[in-house]
Amino acid sequence: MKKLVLTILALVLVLGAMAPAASAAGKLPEVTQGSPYDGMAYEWGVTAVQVYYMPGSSPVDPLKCELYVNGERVTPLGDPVDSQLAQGASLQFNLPEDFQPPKGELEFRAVLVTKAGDEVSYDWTYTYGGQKRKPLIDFALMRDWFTFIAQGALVTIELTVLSILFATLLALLGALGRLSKSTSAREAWTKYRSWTYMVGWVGRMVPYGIATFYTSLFRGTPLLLQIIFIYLAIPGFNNYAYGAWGFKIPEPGPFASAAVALSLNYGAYLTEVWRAGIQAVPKGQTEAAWALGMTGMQTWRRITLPQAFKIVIPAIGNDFIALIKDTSLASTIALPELLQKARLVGGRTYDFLSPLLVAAAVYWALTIFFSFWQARLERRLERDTARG
Amino acid sequence: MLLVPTVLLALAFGLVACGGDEGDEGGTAEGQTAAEKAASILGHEPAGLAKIIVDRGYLVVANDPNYAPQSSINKETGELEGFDVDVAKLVGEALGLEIRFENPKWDSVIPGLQAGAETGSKWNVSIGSMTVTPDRAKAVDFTDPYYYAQGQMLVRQGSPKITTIEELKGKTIGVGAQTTYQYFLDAVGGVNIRSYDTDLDAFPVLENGGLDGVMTADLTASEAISSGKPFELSGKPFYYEPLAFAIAKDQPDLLALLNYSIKWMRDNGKLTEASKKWYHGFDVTAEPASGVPSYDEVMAQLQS
Repeated sequence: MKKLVLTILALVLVLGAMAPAASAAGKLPEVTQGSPYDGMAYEWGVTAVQVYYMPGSSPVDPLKCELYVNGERVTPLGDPVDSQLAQGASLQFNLPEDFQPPKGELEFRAVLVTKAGDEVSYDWTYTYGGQKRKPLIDFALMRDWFTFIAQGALVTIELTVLSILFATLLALLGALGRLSKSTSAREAWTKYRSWTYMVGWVGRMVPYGIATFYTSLFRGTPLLLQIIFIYLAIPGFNNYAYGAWGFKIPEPGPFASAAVALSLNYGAYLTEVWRAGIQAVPKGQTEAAWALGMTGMQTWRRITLPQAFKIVIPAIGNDFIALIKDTSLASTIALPELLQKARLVGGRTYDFLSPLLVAAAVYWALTIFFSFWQARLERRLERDTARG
Repeated sequence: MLLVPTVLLALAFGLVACGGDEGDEGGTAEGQTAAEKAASILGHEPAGLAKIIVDRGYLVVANDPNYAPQSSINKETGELEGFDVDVAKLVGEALGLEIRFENPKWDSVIPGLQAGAETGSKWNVSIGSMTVTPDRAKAVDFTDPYYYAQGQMLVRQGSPKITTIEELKGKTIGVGAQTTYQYFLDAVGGVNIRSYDTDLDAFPVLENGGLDGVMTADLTASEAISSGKPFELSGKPFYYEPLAFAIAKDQPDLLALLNYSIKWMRDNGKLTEASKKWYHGFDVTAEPASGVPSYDEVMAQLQS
């Protein structure tokens, strides 16, 4: 009986002694991850070490927390920064400028000390590639991402070639429209004094009006606006049309929107180029063709158009090269062309300079390549003249 | 008037560019499954946008790959990866739909959702960490929140911290255009706000000393620090924000299907799994209970 009482007494004492200790410890912070860690999207920048943890019942005292790399204590730059996240928290140790860890596997240990005086330590490893801070121009990054960015060049070329083809055709039609007006209304009336003639004159004014309106509109509004407008306006139109009239028209994706906008915009500029080219063919050529008995269409196909084509080739070549660069505007509608891809890499690696340099180099290479062929083509056309 | 020539050329290009889509619609077996699945979830035949989507068998998700770790591109494959990307794929799994991603700029996400309301074109849902705000709720409908983030200030290492509203006054702060951070700073007033296409575009400017701070989501900020940006978090967040999927307004069936998918991935633990994978072992899918006010509370306080 005495024994039992003593045992109970002893138990009460022991538990009583343990209880305050247990409550002092409370819930300890629990570390979930240390950064840098293997498998990060980029190489560690050696500017900071972060410890992610779930806070315990007592807050962490940043001033007492310690960081060890390969067993050596690191004196952080300034006080460690404790930040509250949506879930959990992060403790950031800023590293001094001259901190240079050795290449290879690094052993990290962070010791978190709470205000109540409890310590929690966390160990992790990271394989360090030896790159001290990010260099200004990161050649390793350029090499790693070159293929990804350069693939955008295919889209750029495809877009350029398609757009210049459509633009040239559109411009030819536009130029014919622009040239269909020969005299002003007053001149026509004073010259012919014929109502039948005036009806024909009005008929010829229609294509002229359309072409003039078209060039004015597309040269008078920014290309960027046109791209965004086409990308966003047709779906809006469809949405309305589908609700109101129950039909919809095919909707252009980013590529088609950009191609349509570039074709229309460059078509407007090339209209004036074609018009000038056609007008530059001496009138005597046409008159000679008529004298030989050619019909209007024959004159056009065999005499005027080939000569005009030779005149406009340098200008089209110029616009082609300008167009290569203007395709970059399509990045605003997220078409994965060169610039957009470079920006994506920038977003991924937090380094915009290096990927943008890669994109710039590819654009430059493309324009040099096409300028070379343009020069060849022009020389070729020159030679024909010399022979003729 | 731009529409007339535009439509003509769009027809020409649309046939070329969209030609590829036709073949995919042939996957009737999968389309059937999605339609049946939708009907069993809803308890009736889906209508409206939901019908268009389950019939054709794929869902187009808007997502901006400029926000690691929510969404970015994988170096090896060039494919999208990240928390939002995993969540989108889980939606596909839950509803038996193929997921296709579009990467519009942030400020055209909502116009695109509205544009496709009747026809299902452009993108059908934004799974891109969009904060639920009353203003946006006038333009789109939100699902239940799928995770929570906090608005944090990011400053250069060693510069003065910005943690209170008083400290914000007169400072030059960079933000992504049309983000809650911009709305918040607008409401604070007296802040010199610089808005960029994405939050990330502000980072090089902050690094060079052109800004006093950048306001962004806590874990986006933290990610920039690990990559070697000489920044630090300001410590104390201004508010927490619930993040949800957004769809065009008045599409109750699509909303119900998406809410079902969120509940499905919450219940089977896959949402938490994705969160722990991308967010340093944290479960950000639960509402924070840390005493930080919500975005709505802060805005209501600022506007009163």
